[in-house]
Amino acid sequence: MIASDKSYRELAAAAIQDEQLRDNINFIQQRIGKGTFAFWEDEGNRQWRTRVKEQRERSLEHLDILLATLAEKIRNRGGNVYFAKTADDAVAYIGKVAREHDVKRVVKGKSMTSHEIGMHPVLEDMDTEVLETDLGEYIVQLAGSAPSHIIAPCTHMNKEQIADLFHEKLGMEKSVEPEVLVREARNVLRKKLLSADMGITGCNLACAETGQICLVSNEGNIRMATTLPKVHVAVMGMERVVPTLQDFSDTLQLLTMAAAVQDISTYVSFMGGPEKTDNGDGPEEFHLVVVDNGRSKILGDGEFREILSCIRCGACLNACPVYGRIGGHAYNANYPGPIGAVISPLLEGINRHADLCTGETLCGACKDICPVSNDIPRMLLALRRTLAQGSEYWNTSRHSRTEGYGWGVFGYVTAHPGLYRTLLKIGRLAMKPFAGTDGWTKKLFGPAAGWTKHRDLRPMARRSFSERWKQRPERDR
Amino acid sequence: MHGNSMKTEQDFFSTMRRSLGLPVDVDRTVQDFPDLLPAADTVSQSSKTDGEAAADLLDLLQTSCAKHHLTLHIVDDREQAAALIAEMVKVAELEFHDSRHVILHDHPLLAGLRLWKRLEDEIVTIHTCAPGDPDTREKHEICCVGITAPECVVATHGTIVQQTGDGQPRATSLLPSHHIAVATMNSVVRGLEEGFRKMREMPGSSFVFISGPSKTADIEAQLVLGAHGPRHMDLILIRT
Amino acid sequence: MNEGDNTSAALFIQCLVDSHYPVVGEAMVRVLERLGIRSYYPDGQTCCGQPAYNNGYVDAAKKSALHFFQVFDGADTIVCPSGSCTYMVRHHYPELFKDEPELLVKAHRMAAKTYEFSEYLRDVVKVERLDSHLDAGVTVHDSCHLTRGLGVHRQPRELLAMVKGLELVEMDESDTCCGFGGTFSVKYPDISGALVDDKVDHILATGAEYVVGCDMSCLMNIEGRLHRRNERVKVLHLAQVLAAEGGAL
Repeated sequence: MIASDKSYRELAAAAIQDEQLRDNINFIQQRIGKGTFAFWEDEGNRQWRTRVKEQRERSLEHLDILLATLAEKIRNRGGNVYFAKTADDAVAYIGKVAREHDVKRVVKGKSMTSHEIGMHPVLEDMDTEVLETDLGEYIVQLAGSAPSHIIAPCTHMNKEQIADLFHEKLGMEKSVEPEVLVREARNVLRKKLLSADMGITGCNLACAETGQICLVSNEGNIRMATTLPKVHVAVMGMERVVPTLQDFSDTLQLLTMAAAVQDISTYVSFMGGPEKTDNGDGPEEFHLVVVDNGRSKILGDGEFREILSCIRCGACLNACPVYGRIGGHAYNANYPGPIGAVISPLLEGINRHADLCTGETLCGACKDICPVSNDIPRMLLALRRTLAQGSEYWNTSRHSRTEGYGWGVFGYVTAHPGLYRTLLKIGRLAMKPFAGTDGWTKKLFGPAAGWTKHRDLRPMARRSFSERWKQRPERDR
Repeated sequence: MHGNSMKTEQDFFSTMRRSLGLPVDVDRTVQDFPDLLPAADTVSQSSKTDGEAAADLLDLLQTSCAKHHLTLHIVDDREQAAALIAEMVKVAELEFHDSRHVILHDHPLLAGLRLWKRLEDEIVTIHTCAPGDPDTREKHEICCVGITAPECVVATHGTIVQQTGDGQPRATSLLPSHHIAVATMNSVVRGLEEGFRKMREMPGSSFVFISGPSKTADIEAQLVLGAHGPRHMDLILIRT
Repeated sequence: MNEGDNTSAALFIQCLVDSHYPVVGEAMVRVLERLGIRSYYPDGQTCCGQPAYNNGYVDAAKKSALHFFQVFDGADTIVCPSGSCTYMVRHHYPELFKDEPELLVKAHRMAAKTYEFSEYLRDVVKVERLDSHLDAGVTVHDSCHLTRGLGVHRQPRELLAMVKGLELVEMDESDTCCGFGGTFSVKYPDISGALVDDKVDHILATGAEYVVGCDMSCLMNIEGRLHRRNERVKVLHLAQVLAAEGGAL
């Protein structure tokens, strides 16, 4: 992930001006977000969600057993499983496998975890071509940019921009017809897929009972990346395993429903090891890289463990009004949106991503839409507490002592009504010079200046409710 | 065989156990938690479809296939199936190669169609997958039609459950522009859970659930059929 | 939950209503009076502490909460014209004291007897008819804590339906966040501004004269943007609508 040196506010402000971005995200939020909300109106579906949440919690409590079982089954079939504690460990392993097979071309299925561990630059340093094959990711890669949505990576681009890109980078005659653009990508990528030495994918979910991983796609690129090259490496966040085949079925269906309001993706591929046939179809070597990279730390914190239930469906992005206006790049982290606002600070640093902890309204739409009922607002509040107090466990320093003192004074004042009332009166007087003729204030200074950037401030009442009440006739009290 | 050294793997698991509040050096096993994963004999077997349910299932299947742009054909017998496939082959788009090649999974249902007979007067080469065939990949790259016989068809989702392995390469339903799946009526099951159960009953660990031709909506959310897999998919259901 | 008193109510007047919109408090009192409910205003109330809590400063929030406990100790039923403050008391007060058993008991007791105004009228008092009359077109903003937090969505509309002369036009995205979010509105002004702008666009599209809600914090945010855009639409708390008689406010 290419980190920007701009702040959340700066990136957000730029994104807010982008009408195209706004329209594209709005389209997804209306079509898919609203569709997912409608799905939860059915009581049966809500019960399904509750069952899956319980299963996710159970899975996390028994994660050691599930991962051990999964690994054993895969290894029994001749597959390889590598447990990577850190991003560096994961990348080193993948690099070693690539070197052993003299890999020149890697084709990728969409995997946010592979971006998280920083795999691309390392492989590219080895003179290995790493090619995204998911159409949206491919477009974003061609453009030299980063994905902005978990499920729809190039939602920030319109067809004119994509047409220009294909014309420039692929020498294609310019056309803005999606059919024509897709056909071009299909042909270009087919050649690459057919000649690739290694396929690297993520893993949507793994099943301990059967020792399989599952990958979903509509395009077929993941099937190609896991069938055509001799080596298949699947990168999986350690929390993405469920116990039984029934759980697998339950959870996968919710995943595709929440991600795209689809009852099922076009392709759901199950695999649990190398292909055992001699006909050169399917990988000779299968590697599952199970990544920790900070997840076990989250597992160990009762406040945040819940976020590991996430199945990366992206539904929260389709519900969030803040994401709707600022888009994915403003988060400046590997994971955007509400899920990103919790997991990016936890994985990449809470101080580093302080703005992600505080930069949303806690409106709760994400919690409402989430297929595993993750209480993201609760966890954002927990992150705010962590910033306010500091935390040794999270290697987080207090965000601002000044702010702390300020709120300390606030607490004191609210417990002392006389002082509170006096301060209100002073405030009322202090505001007067800033007000216009109608009493409204157009420009504030100091910490509250943000209010008047886009709004006017109404005057305080001449007499507060408390004062009016005291001045009521005796009989009415 | 690749993997962790004993130490790094133990380290990984110790860290996890510490987070779970468990003794760091004690391996927990699945035997300690009998309720976590089902014992083999407690798993319900997939159900058979009876004749009465069939009509209702077909309606369900029609609707779900339409939703996924999967073209469904219901034919009375193998003769009709073969005739239909022959017609499809004759007009199949030659997207990746100039001459007409078709490839079939090695499966008794497909062999029984005797497609070679139907197409003997046409300029078509029919290949049947053979285990250990070193030309498997090359053949698939030039074929315009790939024909498979799925294990079962899920009515609620318009999904075929396709096992892959010896004589049944993954590429057959993936590389050609046109995929034809052939199944008999009694392989239709109601729901996805039954598809999963069928999967568990079969040997091997490599399967794919396919629900129509490949598609993408990544460009301005407009649906386009034919991304990286087949552009067309037909499902032929034989009544008897 | 609906065991509250429907003859007398302690008023928990939101700090914002106290300082900026006292007319809302007065409207609430008038409506309760007309229903034969004696309301009183426990002296010494200040702020429920939500701003501190939402910023992660729990010690400060606890001070506010403890003071709240003192002020409302003797009340049987507490009625508040704010969904978000009610949410603070009902959901966050118990969380604040989850490790302090005695205070946790107090917090639960407070939570059990605190109601948002519209839910109090419909679910406790079980109001079926009102003699309110306001000749106006209105639209409703469903605030986040009220709707998704407390689950209160139907009650304001049921009450509005009892108002003679009122025409309700629903806006698109009525329950989408208005962008206030407490201190978010001053800390992230551009994002907040974008959200409230969208909300104002939706309001204007209805053609309503008033936007009505149960949270003056949201309404103050919306009102501020309406004023900046020189729009004529005004904001009203539900209580003000219900208090209207004779067709006008």
